[in-house]
Amino acid sequence: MKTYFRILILTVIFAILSTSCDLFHTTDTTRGNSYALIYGVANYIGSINDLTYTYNDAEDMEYFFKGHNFTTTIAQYDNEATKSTIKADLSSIREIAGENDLTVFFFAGHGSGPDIGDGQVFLIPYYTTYTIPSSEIFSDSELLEELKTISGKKLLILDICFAGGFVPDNGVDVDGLPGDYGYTGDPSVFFQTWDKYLTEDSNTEYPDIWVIGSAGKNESAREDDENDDTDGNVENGYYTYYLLKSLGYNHDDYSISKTIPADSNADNLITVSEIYNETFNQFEQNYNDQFLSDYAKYYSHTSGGPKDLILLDLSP
Amino acid sequence: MCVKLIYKIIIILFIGMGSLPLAANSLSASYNPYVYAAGYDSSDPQTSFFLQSGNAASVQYIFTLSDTSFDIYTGLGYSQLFDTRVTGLEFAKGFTSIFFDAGLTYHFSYNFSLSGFMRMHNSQYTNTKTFFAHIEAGISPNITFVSDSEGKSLHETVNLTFPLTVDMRKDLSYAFSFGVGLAIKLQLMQDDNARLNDGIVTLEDSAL
Repeated sequence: MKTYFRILILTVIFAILSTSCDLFHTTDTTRGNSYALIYGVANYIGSINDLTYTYNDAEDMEYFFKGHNFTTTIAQYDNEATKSTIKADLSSIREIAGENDLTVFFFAGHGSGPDIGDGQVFLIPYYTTYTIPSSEIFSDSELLEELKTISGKKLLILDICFAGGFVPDNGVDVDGLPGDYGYTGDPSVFFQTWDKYLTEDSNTEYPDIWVIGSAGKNESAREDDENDDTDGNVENGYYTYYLLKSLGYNHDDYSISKTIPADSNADNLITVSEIYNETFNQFEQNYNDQFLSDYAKYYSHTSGGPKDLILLDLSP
Repeated sequence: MCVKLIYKIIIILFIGMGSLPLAANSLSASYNPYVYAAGYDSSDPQTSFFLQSGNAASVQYIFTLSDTSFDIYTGLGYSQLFDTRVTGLEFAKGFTSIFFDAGLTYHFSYNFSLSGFMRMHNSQYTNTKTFFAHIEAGISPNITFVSDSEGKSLHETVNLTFPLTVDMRKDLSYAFSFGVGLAIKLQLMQDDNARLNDGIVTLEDSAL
């Protein structure tokens, strides 16, 4: 009996020690500057492609990041948010960003699906002619390459249709959600993971870019309908609304709570995975399950890989 | 072609592992906390190597090979690796795994044995819907602390284990772990043709 007891005590002690990793190494927690580039396009040229609340989405994001004292927050709306303006903003950040800096890029507006071009998806900024010129939109790879050349870590948040197409495939991970949930439902990932393990190589083309996309590669993202009082009346794109809510932001009074629902482990470090998970759960419970049939449901996607990005460090 | 062959071999092994419980003559439950050292390709020197901690628990069926000092075993397990902050901007992601393992144990003496094993993991990163597969191989010295095997049809032993493993993950440049744990073995079925549970094959055992 004594021997059992000794072993039990030794094991418990080791378990406690091993869960406290700070005992094994010290971490350099230096963070540099934080930059936010925010774009919202509701009023496209003409009126047929106009949206309603993407302006609100960007405005709320602007308030949020300014409220968290980001070093620089650039926000452009409607006809200010053209491709050339966005590229100029990216260049200005590129000139000042360092290795320990964080750049957040947010866009709310239209996206275009993989049926255009070579399986690529597109972000549609404000454009200047009635037919959308390819020179005035960003393909997924074009935008990722733009971000890649900025030093430090980058987070791309997109509330657009087909946003999942911007999440880079790192070669070895399997997304547990399909690009078109309404058509295919939950996929079986077991054999997919082994197939990738045995046949694919790891792709580390964008190791310093994390992406959160509001919808799958073949799915449309939705916004509140101003003429429908029964759909939640969130006055935002649904994904942006729940993402900001998971970060403690309240659209109704533009306030930022000190309690962050996304901080699931209460360590005051808000990571992309935590944000993704909390937003996913809120979106599922309050929108997908409430207002959409299985056929119409859509799901957010985020980057795989062994690293997670800390968006906010709220340590006292 | 080669990959398809490996795939087939793994599936055959997987089926073989699944049928082993039919022939097993003991069952063990084990738990081990461990430390996981991993590295990935990174432009940041300070993040190319990091340490994480975790826990693993598994249940194993053990089949004792008659007239030898070998056991072979197969089992199912669950493991969890915790997040670890590696820089001001990054965490090393934690993940949970369900794994199948299979291995071989050689008994040097009553108190000491050495196991070699392979585990096939299906893992999910914490807080995401992202899954990945990986294979872990390792060795584990085992020290038997407690045994009440004398003449009973149902008995238990307690082993202290020190697994050292290499985790063959494709998203990392290298990864290994070491740990310490308890393996509580419950002998549910007595095979009279096997050795007398003392880890050493004797003429007496063979005569039985």
